[in-house]
Amino acid sequence: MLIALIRGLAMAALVATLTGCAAGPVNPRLDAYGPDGYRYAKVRGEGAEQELFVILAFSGGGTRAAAFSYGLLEGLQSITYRPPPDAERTLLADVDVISSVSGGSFTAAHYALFGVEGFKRFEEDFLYRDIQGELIARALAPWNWVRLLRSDYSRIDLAADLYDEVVFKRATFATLLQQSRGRPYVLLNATDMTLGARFEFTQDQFDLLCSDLSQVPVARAVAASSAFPILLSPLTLHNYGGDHCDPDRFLPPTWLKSASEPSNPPRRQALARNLMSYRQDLKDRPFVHLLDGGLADNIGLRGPYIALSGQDSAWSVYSKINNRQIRRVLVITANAKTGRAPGWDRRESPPGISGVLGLVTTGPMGNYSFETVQLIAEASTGGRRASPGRPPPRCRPRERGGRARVMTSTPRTGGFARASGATPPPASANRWRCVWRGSRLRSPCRARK
Amino acid sequence: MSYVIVRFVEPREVYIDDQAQGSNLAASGKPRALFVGAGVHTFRLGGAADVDPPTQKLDVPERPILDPFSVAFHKC
Repeated sequence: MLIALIRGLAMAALVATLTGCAAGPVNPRLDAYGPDGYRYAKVRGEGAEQELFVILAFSGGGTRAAAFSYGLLEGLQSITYRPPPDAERTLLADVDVISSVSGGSFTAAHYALFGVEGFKRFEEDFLYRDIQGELIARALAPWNWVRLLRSDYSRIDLAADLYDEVVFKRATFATLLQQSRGRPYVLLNATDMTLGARFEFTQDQFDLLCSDLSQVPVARAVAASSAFPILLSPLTLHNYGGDHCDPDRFLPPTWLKSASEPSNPPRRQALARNLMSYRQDLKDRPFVHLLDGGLADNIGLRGPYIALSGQDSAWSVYSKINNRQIRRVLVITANAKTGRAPGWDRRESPPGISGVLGLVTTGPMGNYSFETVQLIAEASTGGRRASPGRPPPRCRPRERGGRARVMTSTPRTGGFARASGATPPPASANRWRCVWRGSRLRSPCRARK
Repeated sequence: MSYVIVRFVEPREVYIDDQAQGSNLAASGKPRALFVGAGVHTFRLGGAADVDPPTQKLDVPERPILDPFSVAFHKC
């Protein structure tokens, strides 16, 4: 009996090893540079933008963040209006860009892939499912032990495979592009461990790695975006820049060359230096290791900030305003951070190890969120108005130049009983999803039995 | 944020870092103020190649709408 069991395990390990060895690299090499791939211009196309440009930002925060951002999508779907001379439509249909990190990336990627029709499936496949329990079960399964011992397979690959199978149904970025008609452009953000900077899963970013994003599973990007430190291992990408790709054929965007000039403002220079490091440090950077996007920006607004503050983006909002493609900009942040005070200061004894660990692993992630929201508000108004609490200002189209106002709205998420940051039970997920019912947006929350 | 006006005798498409920004002139014939992020940018005009200089790489400072940064091209 014992011998049979050992034989079975050995056979399972052998099969798993051979299967794993047959797998190709996570991100294949790019055959030739070109305009194709998952880019803003390919997703939104000509004339897709309306007068109102809508950007959503989904924060990190595990399943709580996924539920919270899902509630926002439901709320936007329930708001209809009729901009003359067009027919009535929902505000959700007007969303142009979603930028997300960590838990919010599940909602963003699923909506971009499956649309409103996929709402019900998202609840069944992810939101009310014990995905963490399934992940632990897979990690404990003997046939995965040998795979996990390999240098090219780790816990993040196990997670990505699970998400690929049960949530994103084997969709790649090529699938995402094919199914993106009428849907928003999604920035799934991770963190480059070496730079400590944002890394987005777009072909513009992958051009710098000389890599083809279209063959990368969406689940890989979501796994990288939500690779919480220590719990999950980093996701590793190959950097082919200058290896078999001819670096002379790669022409960096003009804004990147301009931003590399030493006389630029420090923040702009740093952005250019980080991006060009994938091309210039080829011997030092044949691999890129990615962790949770919340480490660089836990609110998902840094990408939109770049687009909202200049021409240094493939979807520069300044350029769209100058071109009179858009007149108003609405930015909605779904920040799932809880407002609950830990109560440490009521006791003389210092917080225990769990409190300290909780702080060092999650505290820094939220530190820049407030500043990022303020940066966005100031970038859009020239620093004159930064008032998330004020009523939305009326915008009058003007002849000279374009005028746009950015309204940032971070709903108050405090006041709720504790919700687990990892895998809340269904009732808790539903509660977070329904937070929007109490805010300005109406959410069609249903009582879940 | 900075405001920039691009001076040229006739309406032309303005390109900043090779991104189209719309016409340099408003319908009234006056220069339009364009939103530009502060820093180094390459300016050029679309249409016929009768513009001098063909491109300009300039360091755009922060400027308010009442005192926009001016970029001048001449017809040759």
